[in-house]
Amino acid sequence: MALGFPERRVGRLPVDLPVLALIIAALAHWIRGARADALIFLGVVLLLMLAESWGYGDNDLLTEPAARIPGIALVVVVALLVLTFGRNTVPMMLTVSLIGLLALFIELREPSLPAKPDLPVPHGAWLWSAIGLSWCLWELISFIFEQAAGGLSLTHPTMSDLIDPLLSNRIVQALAIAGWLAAGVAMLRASAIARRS
Amino acid sequence: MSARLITELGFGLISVAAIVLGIASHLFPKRVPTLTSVLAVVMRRRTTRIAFVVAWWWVGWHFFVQN
Repeated sequence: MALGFPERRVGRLPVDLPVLALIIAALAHWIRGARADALIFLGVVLLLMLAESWGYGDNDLLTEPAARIPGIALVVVVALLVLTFGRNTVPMMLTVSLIGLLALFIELREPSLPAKPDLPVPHGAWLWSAIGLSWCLWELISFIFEQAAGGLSLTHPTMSDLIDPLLSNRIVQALAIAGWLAAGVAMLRASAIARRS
Repeated sequence: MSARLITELGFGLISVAAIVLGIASHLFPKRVPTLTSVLAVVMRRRTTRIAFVVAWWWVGWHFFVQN
């Protein structure tokens, strides 16, 4: 999480640590046999590098009002969709894809903010970074053990292996997708507020 | 204690720590920042924003579409 603190250099460097993290994630997907996921991540890396290299997204955009991100209504509609159709269906594939594309479009369109060396990082931010990094490390360890065991480890399950069985019920699926979407909306809103503040 | 239990406890501990931190950030905002306030600072850069968005979106894709 501490990869992109803004006191570090903000420029037109097309490859930085977050881009590197996306490339590593793509490699991990490739190793675990999820070729489509790997290609999606690599596609995003390519888009991002093009956007950074060409300077796509003018600072003029920062004076425009932020894109309005729908909240509760969207969460309710998507939860109802998964309640009706269930996960792993074509309607859910279209819905999740559309949500991802919209979020990507909103964020790709917005340029990086100018560096502000005097901008304080919130006191205690390291606590959140520690939790995020701990989770990543624990997942990575489980992932390595799982790959060593041939793709499914009973002794070192990844987060996916633990959560997946819980999602067999549609009501749980609806609650889970509502939580996922609410988290994403909160993240996008935090980002939009920071850009306009 | 089996390896599986240790793995599960690890994930459980991290999840509980995140929940406790989330509650603490609302009870003691001067000592513990909210996650959104930290994200607002981190996400000033486009590459970081995109990395977070892709990571978040992939979770939804993985659990609701791919399996």
